[in-house]
Amino acid sequence: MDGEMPENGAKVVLVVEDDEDLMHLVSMLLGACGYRVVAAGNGREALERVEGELPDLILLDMKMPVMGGAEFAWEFRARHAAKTPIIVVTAAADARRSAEAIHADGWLGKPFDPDALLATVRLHVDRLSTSAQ
Amino acid sequence: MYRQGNSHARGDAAPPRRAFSLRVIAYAIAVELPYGALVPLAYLRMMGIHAPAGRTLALSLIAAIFVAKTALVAIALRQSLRPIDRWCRDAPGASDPEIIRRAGRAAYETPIRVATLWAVLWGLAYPPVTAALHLFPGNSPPPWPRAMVATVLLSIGCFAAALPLAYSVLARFVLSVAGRISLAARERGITIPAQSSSLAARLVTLAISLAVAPTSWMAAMIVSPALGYQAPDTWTTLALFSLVAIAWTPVCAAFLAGVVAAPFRRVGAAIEHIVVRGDVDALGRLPVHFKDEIGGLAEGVNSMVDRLQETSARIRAYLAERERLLSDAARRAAELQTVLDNIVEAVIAIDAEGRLALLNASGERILGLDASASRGRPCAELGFQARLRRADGSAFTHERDRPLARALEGEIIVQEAQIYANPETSSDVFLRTSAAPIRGESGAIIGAVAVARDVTEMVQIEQMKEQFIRVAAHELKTPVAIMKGYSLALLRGSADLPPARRRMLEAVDRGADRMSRIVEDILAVSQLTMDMAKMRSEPVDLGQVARVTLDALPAAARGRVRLSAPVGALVACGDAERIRQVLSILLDNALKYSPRGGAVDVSFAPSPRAEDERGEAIVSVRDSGVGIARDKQERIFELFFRAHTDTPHDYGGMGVGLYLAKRMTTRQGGRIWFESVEGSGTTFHFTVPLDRP
Repeated sequence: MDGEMPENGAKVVLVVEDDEDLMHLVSMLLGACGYRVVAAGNGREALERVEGELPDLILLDMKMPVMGGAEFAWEFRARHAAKTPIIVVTAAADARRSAEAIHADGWLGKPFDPDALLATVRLHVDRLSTSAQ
Repeated sequence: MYRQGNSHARGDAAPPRRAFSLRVIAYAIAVELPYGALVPLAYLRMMGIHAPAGRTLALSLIAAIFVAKTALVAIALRQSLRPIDRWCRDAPGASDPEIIRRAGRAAYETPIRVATLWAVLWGLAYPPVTAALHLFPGNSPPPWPRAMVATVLLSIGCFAAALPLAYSVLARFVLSVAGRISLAARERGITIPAQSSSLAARLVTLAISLAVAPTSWMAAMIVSPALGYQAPDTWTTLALFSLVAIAWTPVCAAFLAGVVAAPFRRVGAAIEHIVVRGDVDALGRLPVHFKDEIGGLAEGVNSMVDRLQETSARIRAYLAERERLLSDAARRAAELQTVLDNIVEAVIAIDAEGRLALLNASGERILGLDASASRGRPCAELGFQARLRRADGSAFTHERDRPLARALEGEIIVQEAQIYANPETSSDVFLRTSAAPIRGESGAIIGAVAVARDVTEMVQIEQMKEQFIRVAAHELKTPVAIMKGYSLALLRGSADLPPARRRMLEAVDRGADRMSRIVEDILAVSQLTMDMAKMRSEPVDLGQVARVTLDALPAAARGRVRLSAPVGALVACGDAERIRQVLSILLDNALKYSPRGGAVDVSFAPSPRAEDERGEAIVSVRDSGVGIARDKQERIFELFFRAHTDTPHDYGGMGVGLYLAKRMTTRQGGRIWFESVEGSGTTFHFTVPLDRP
């Protein structure tokens, strides 16, 4: 695994996922790679979380109670001008189409390979930091 | 009067109880008797016999001769009428033809024969008396030969008088029986072989008799030895003679009138019956009383009635047949209507001009139309055609694309899906419509009929099923993701994992993979039905599709695939996503069933196609893997068929990949096939039509 990174310089990943076990798995995998994970159980909760701090990346489940992924994406883009990449993580039959539908930056179908998850996250966070520089 | 038709016994007099001949004899003698008394008196005066001895002799002789004559006539009558007695004794309706024939002949021939005999006997009665008076001269015998000449003249008069009288008396009595027999004979189709006696001949005979009888009577009186103008008794004798003549004429005339007039009257009545009533079937037949002109007339009328009744029977039979056909047609129409109204499908028929010709009860319900108000009106006016959409919900762009319009053009449509907006319930009805043209006898299209099944419920159930499958599969994915994620995290995180635990975790990971594949398969089959409906047909760059497919593969797998594409773009016509899916399924299989990690070759090339100028692209995927067992090859494209079940190469899944590949390929107008040798690899090929015209 990648080495530990300092807490204050860690990239922030907002994980929006209603399944607690999956949330724990993703947090564990990302945490082990030095990312700081902000967890949200649904779209509304996620909108509250981003009020305080804008994440570097959003991992977004589509089907959730209270507020779904599509609605969150729309709301988020309406409220924040930030170019925060959104990666759709969904169990929908066609993950790619769901992602295209909300103009997401990437997609992962459930179940996913942990390596694929990390690779995708790294790709988008790095791209962001290189373009920011 | 003529209603007897088939039962003559009812109409005419009932058959006599006593023998018919005896009755005739009795009547005949009774009519003759007064003359039998008057003529001898005249004879005695004419002969001038006044002596009692002479009178006694003459009267005794006359009486004896009269009795003998009467007996002879009676015997002749009895003999001649015997067949009629026989016929009367039998039930007249059931007689055998020979009896009828003989009775008829007797009835027709007896009057003239017996009357002749009778008249002859009258003619022969007096000469013997005169001869006897001469042979036994008692008191003043009449002078010979004057007496004999007078007697002969008297006899001629008697003959001439007796002939018409006897004939008319007998004919009068036999007439009704003859008529009845003629009807019975006619009913059985029997011809009576009797000599005909012309009416004209009879009238001539009558006229001669009427002339001869009084003339010879008077001549006898003049020639008579006892008389003369100067004789004192002449006036008395003349009165007596005149009395006989006067008595004879009306009796004779009355009977003759009956004989001639009655048959005429009956013929007239029958004709009037036909003319006035017009009721041909109620008519009977005329009795033929004589074989003469009147009889001929009656026969003629009978034949006419026969023909009329035949014609009438034919007309009646024709009308009955027509009635039967009409009621048959009405019954069949009612049956058909009932059948039509009781089937669940809507049945709609239009004529060549597009007017509604038929709509059954289900049609009324499904289409929300009123059949009786809509029949005969143009479909465009009724608007139900406009409420019809394609299965994908889009409107028909042209009027001629609608099923009924296409059927009118001669197309036969089988089970096509449409959606109909029912105006009554304002809800959508899913239809499966079949339609066909209706052709007339010449083969020209005279209309079209469509049968539409309401499959709304089926479609809804299908949608529910699909939804259930999708929700269930979707919900399964998250737990599988958790299983797979944790097992892989654990496997990766600790290098010092004991081998036994490592194997366990690997098993959990493989289980998660298999479960994932099953879920994918279920979703893919469920998705297929939906995708098929909205399959696109557009230009597709096959090289681009191949690159996208390869990119989606895991990196390790991607390294094993070798792609050989032709120079320049190869543009096919189809649905890019479906082509990608087919290629992906074939690649997946090729990689999966090459366990030793052999290379997989993907190639595509254009190929001319024989049947049209378009040509097609052949895409091939070749592996050097385990191959497909020969006995499994035939079933490889079946749904849920798995060639590698219970072999070391069972990698899970439900056996849907190749089924999906085949469905999607053929739907785009392509083919799919393969070559495989067990143990040394398989090559799958599929084609896509090329885009260039």
